[in-house]
Amino acid sequence: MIALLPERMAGPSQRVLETGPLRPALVVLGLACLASAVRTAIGVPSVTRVARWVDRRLGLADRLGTALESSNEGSLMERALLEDAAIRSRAIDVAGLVPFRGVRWPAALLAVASLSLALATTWTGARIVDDRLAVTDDSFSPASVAASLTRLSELVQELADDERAPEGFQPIGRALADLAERATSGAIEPASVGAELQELLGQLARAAADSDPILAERLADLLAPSTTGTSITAEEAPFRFDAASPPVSQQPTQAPAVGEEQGQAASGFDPNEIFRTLGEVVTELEQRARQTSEEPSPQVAEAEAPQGAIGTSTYYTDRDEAREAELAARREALRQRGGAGSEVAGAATESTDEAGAMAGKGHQPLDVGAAGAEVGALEHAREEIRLDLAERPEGSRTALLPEPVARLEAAAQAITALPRPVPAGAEAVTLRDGYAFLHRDLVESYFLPDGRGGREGKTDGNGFR
Amino acid sequence: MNEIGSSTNSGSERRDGTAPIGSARAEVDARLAGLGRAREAVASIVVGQEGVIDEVFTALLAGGHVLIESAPGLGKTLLVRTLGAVCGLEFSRIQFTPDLMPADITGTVALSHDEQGNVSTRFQPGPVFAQMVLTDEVNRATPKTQSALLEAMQERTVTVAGRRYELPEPFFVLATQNPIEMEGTYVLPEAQVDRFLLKVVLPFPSQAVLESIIDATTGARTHVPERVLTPAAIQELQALTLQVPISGHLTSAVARFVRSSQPTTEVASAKVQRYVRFGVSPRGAQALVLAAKARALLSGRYAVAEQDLLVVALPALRHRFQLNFEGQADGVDAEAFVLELLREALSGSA
Repeated sequence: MIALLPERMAGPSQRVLETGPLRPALVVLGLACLASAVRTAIGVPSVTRVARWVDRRLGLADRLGTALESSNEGSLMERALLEDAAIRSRAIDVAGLVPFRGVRWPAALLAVASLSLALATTWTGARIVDDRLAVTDDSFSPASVAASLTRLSELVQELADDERAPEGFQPIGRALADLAERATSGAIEPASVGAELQELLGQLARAAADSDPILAERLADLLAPSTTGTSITAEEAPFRFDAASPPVSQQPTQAPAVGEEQGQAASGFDPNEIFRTLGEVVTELEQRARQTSEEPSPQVAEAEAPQGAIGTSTYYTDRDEAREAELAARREALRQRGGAGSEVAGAATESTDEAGAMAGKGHQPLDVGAAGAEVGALEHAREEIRLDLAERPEGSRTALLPEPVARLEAAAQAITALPRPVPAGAEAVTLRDGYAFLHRDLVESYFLPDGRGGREGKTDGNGFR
Repeated sequence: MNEIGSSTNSGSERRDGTAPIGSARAEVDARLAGLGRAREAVASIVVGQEGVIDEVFTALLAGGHVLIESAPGLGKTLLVRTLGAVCGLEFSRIQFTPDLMPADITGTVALSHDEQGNVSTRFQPGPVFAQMVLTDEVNRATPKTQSALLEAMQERTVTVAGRRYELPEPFFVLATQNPIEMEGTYVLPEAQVDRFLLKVVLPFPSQAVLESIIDATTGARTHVPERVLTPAAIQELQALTLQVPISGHLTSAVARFVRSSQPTTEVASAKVQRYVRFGVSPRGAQALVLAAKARALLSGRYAVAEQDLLVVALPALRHRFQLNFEGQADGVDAEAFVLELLREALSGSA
C-alpha cells in the first residue's frame, strides 16, 4: 500500500509527491483516519438506542423506546403511548443526555500524525512538486530570465517617472527590481519567479488601465494567451487582467498547493509562457519608450481636441454597432499613426472593412479626425472620439470615450443633464456600454430618434434593435 | 417506526380527523381511574397487603388465575370476597376436601319433576359457575377433582353429560393452598400449577400491620366494601391489557431469559445446568409478559418497562422454575436465581 501511494497520488494530473521520507507519517495518518472513520461509524448510536438511553437516564420506563416501535394507527394503548411519549419528549434535551461525542483517541492520533507530517516536511525539505511548473524551455536560463527582469524593472521605472503615470507603477517597478535581484542570486526557483512575475504583470496591467488603456490592452493580450490577437475594450481589460493574474498568494515563494490546481489551470499559469510573455512585454515597453523619446507627448488638452472634426452621417441602431464603429475608428487612427501592435492595427482594419461593408446598408465608415495626426498613440487612446451625427434630423452629435468604468457615473450624470429632447447640434459624450445601461432612454432617443431607428426589426429588452 | 411526537405535532385533531389529539390518553386514563379506585377500596379493607392486592389485580387484568399460598388466617378469603364485592363479580367458594367430587364443582344433571308429574333432566350448575371462584385448599382434593377445576380454568367451559356449558365472563379463580400442612394433601403437579398465571405468597404481617388488622376486625364497626367496577369494565380493562405495547428488546430479553433458564439449551449457564431441574416454559414467558402488561396498566403507564418484568417475575415464575436435588441441597435460592437470570437477559438487551 505504501508503495502504491506515490503512484496513486500522482494520478492523471501528473503531480508527483515526493513521499520517501514521509511514508511513515503518511501511514500513521492513513491508519488514524481509518480508525477514526470506523470508530465513529460504530459509535454512532441508532435512534432506538438513543431512546433507550434517554429512557434509562430520565427514568421514563421504556416509554420512548417502545413509542418508537408503536404505530399511530395502532391500538388505543399505542396511541396513548405515543401521545405520552410526545409530551414527555418535548422537555428532553437529547443532545445533553446522550454522551456521544467525537472519538477522541483517533483525533489525538490524527493530530500526532499531522504533526509528524509537518515535522518531516520541515526537516527533510520534502515538498509537493507539480511537474507542469517545471521550466522546460532551455532558452529561459536563470541568467536570461534575470536579465529580462532587470530590464523590465528599468522600463517600468522609466514609465513611472512620467508625471502622468499612475502611482501604482512605482511599487511595481520596485517589486520587479527585487524579483530580478532574487532571480539573479538564485534565491528563488524559476517556477516561483514565474508566479510572482505573472502577478506583477497583472498588477501592472491594472495600474495602466486608467491612464494607458493601450498598454493595458497589450498587457492583457500578452498575459492571456488564449485571447491573444483578439481586440478587447478598455472596459473589458480589467476583467481580463483579473483572469490573467491569479489572486496574490500569501506566500508567493511557495509553489501552488494541490488544491489550487484548478485555479491555476484556469489562469493558464505556465512559467515557460510567462517568461515568453516577459520578453514580449520588455519588447513592447522598449518600443513605447523609443516612441516617447522620439516624439514627445503633445499633451493635447481635451478642450483642444478636434471638435466634431470627424465622422460623416451615420447612426447606430444598436450599441454593438456603436461599439464596433468606435473601436474601428480608434484602431484606424492608431494604425495611421503607426501605433504599436500590428494585431491592433489588423483588428482596426478588419473593423473598418466591416464598417465599410455596412455602407451599402445605409451606414458609412467613420473617419478619424485630423487631430489624430497630431497626437501619439498613447494620447490618442485618451482623447475623445467624436462621432459626428450632424446629418441626422436632430443634428445631434455623440462622442465615444474609452473612459474607465469607474467614471461612468459622473459622465452619465452629465449626459442626463442634457435637455430633452436632445437639441440639434448638441454633443453627448457616450461611454458605450455604461451609457447604454445607465441611460437607456437617452441612448434610444439619441440613436433612434424616431423610435424606430434606421432599421426595421424587433427591439430587445433594452429598447435596441 | 413512528417518530415520537408525530401524533401531537401542532393540530388538535388526528390525521384522520376522527378524534382530537390526546383523546387516546384521556380515554385510557379514564378507564384506569376506576381501576385505581377499586384497588384503594380493597386496600382499605385488606390491611397491609398492598403487594398481594396488586398481584391479584394483575392476574385479574391479565385474565389469569391465582394460586395463593399462605398460612391459615392471613386473610385469603377476606381478600377474595372484598375483591369480588369491589369488582361487582359474582362470588362462590369451594372448600376442597379429599372426598370432593368433580361434579361437586362443575355441577350435575338432576332429574326434575314438573307439575304434571313429568320427569326431565336439568343441569344443576356447580359452584364453578361464578365470575370469581375461591377454591380453598386446592391441594386437599383428589387429582381427579383438581383436574376438573383446572380444566374449567383453562377451557372456561364445563362439559357435563356430553353437553358443554360456558363459564361466565370474566372468570377468575383464586386457589389457596397451605404450605405447612402437607399431610393428606395431593400436591398439584407441575403441569397443573403451570396453569395459574401467578402464584402469590402472602407474607406474614408486620407488627404495625397486625395491629391495624386487629383494630379493624375486632371492633363493632364493620367495613362494607364499595362496588367500584363492573364485570363489563373489567373485561374492557382486560382487553386494554392485551393492547399494552412492549418494546422489542424486552420481548427479546424475555425469550433469552426463558432459554437461558432451561438446563437443556445451549445457552444455559453452568449454574443452570447444574442446579435447575426444569426452567421456565413458553407458557411462563407468556405469563411473564402478560403480567407485566397488566402491571404497567395498573401503574398508570402505557407500555411495559423493565421494572414491570422484574416485579412480576417472582409471582409469574416461582411455580414454573424448579431446582433439582443438588440445587436444593446446596441451598440455592430459586427466586433469587430466577431474578438473576432475568436481570442478565435484560442487561443484554440494553
